[in-house]
Amino acid sequence: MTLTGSQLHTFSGLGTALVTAVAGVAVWWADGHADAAKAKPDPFADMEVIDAALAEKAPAQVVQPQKKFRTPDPVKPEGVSHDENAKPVDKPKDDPKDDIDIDKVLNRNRDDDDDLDVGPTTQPVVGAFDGDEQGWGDETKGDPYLGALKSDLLRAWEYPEILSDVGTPVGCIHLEPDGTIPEVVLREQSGNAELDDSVERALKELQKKREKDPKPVPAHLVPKTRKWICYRMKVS
Amino acid sequence: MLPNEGLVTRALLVMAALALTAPATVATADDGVIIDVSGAKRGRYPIAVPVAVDSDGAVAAEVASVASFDLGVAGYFKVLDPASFLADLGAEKLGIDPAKWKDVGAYGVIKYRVVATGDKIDLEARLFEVSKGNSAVLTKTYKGSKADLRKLTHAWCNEVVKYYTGEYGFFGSRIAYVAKKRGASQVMVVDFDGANPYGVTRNSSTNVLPAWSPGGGSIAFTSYMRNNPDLYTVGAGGGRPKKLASYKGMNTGASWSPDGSKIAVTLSKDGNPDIYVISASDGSILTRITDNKAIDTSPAWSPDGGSIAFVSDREGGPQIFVAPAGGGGAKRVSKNGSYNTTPAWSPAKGARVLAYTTRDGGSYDIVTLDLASGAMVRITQNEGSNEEPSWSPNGRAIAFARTGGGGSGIYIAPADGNGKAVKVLSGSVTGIDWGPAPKM
Repeated sequence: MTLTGSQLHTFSGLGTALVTAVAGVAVWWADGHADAAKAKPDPFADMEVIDAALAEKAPAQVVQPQKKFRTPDPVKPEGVSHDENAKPVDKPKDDPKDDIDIDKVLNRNRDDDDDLDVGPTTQPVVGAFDGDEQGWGDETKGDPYLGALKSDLLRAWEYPEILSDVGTPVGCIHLEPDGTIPEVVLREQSGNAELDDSVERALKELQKKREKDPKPVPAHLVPKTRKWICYRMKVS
Repeated sequence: MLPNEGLVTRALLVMAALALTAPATVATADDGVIIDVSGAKRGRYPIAVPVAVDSDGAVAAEVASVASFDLGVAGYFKVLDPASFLADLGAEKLGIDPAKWKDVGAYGVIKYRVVATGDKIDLEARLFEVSKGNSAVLTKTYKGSKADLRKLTHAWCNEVVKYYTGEYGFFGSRIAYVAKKRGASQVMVVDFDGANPYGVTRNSSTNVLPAWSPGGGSIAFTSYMRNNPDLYTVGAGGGRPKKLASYKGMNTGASWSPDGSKIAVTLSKDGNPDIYVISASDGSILTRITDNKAIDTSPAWSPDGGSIAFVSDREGGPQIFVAPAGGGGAKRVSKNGSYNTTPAWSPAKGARVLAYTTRDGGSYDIVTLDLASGAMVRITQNEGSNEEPSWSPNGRAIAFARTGGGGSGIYIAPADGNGKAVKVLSGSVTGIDWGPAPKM
């Protein structure tokens, strides 16, 4: 098949329009969600931006074995016979059904394009150990290092017997790869001031302990612990 | 090659980069490792009782001392060491800087001002919860004479306990006991914290086994003043004893019914000691609880009025049995050890828990037994010989008599088995019976 110059220009123009439309939808979708994320008051915004960048860090390129280049085989000119007396063979006519319907091509999947889902829905959630849709880790599937960290937190957590145990505050730590905890914060209050207070005290105790005796994070856990590690605390 | 091939390729690359980057940012916005944790250590409530700085020094120190002792033995609190305090007490006066108290581990802080004018005392006391900021959660003022200072402080501490638990503490209650004096044994009474001891009996005989009436107005005891161990009652403040039961043989081990109308006692009028219920007004026998060839002694009436625990050797060594207060079959409840005596019921609401003395090797110790669950808690161990337990009015502490191991005397220990026993009175004592709660 041979395309004329005008056909090539038309095809190129339509292709560019298609690419622009898809890019526009992608940027619009992402921008909208980014705005939504910004609108939610979250004291961890700074940390998450850093984490997002880390989360998207491209994996190391694996260099595959490359084929060796060689001189291509000579191509015989079409319609030329080495038999000078032989009649040139007529080139077979193009089958009409092989003609490209440009409109048909451009319209194909148009409906799908309108609702293009650009989110990587199957991408594993960073930091969620159990793949739960809520992103809540299951400590039983956790790593021994995290188990020890949790044990230290529990040892530091005392709550007076005479106080109400109603509520489940969430406290978070920022764990550095070297094992220190530069920052702790009560992420979700329980509505029980004494209970929240006890969790803050426990987090600070853990912070002090790891300041004195930091335990470096194992390499395989470092990518997961680059985010806040949070504990949903129930008294009993 | 297409004319705009390079441009299209670059556009596609930009689009791909945008498509990958934007959603990834959103996807991580709410992520994070969240781990479920449960099982906080349930300990005592850390509370600070600093000595007031803008008050009369000696009086202020006594208030802090009394309050610290009260809260320390209450069974709920851990009183913090004043040496650790970081707060500027002079600047704080009757308020608190929560951060300073949080830094020393305090959950609660007690502040007060006490002003002595002549013989009069004005006490203003405040309770702060550190997590709730610098506003007091409880404030009380008291007026009285200097002699009432301890009593006023006890009253304040009872309010503090009530604030946290809904029930008053046992501060201000008293303990009856027996001490030997000049060859005689006298029934004595002392404040639960060892202050203000006084004699209830003043005869030259042997007076033993005191038992408070439910209202605290009188004390029943056994005396040999007429050469037979008869049962008497006397006003809690002392006075002339009234003979209540003088049956032939033993008239011992009184235990009042919860309504104060009856008394369970051991009588041996028929030759063998058995448990009876007699009238608290005239000593007449109402019910015979046991009728056994064995020796049955030390009755203890349950707080709900339905049961009487006692000691019997009907199965060999002395063991604890429980029988219906109206009479009927007795059931052995002590399972461990070959020697278990002096049962006492916990007065805590809804509890069916007995404290008693058990022989452990060559010494005696105090244990509690939950009749519902069978759970036992050791109250004393490896500290002398400990006998004759008696519960505080709210069931949070147990008083007992110790010989050796830190000095003989009356001790108070937390009833949950956690914490060290505190000596409140020195001396060789027996017959411990903790009286009812003071009227507030």
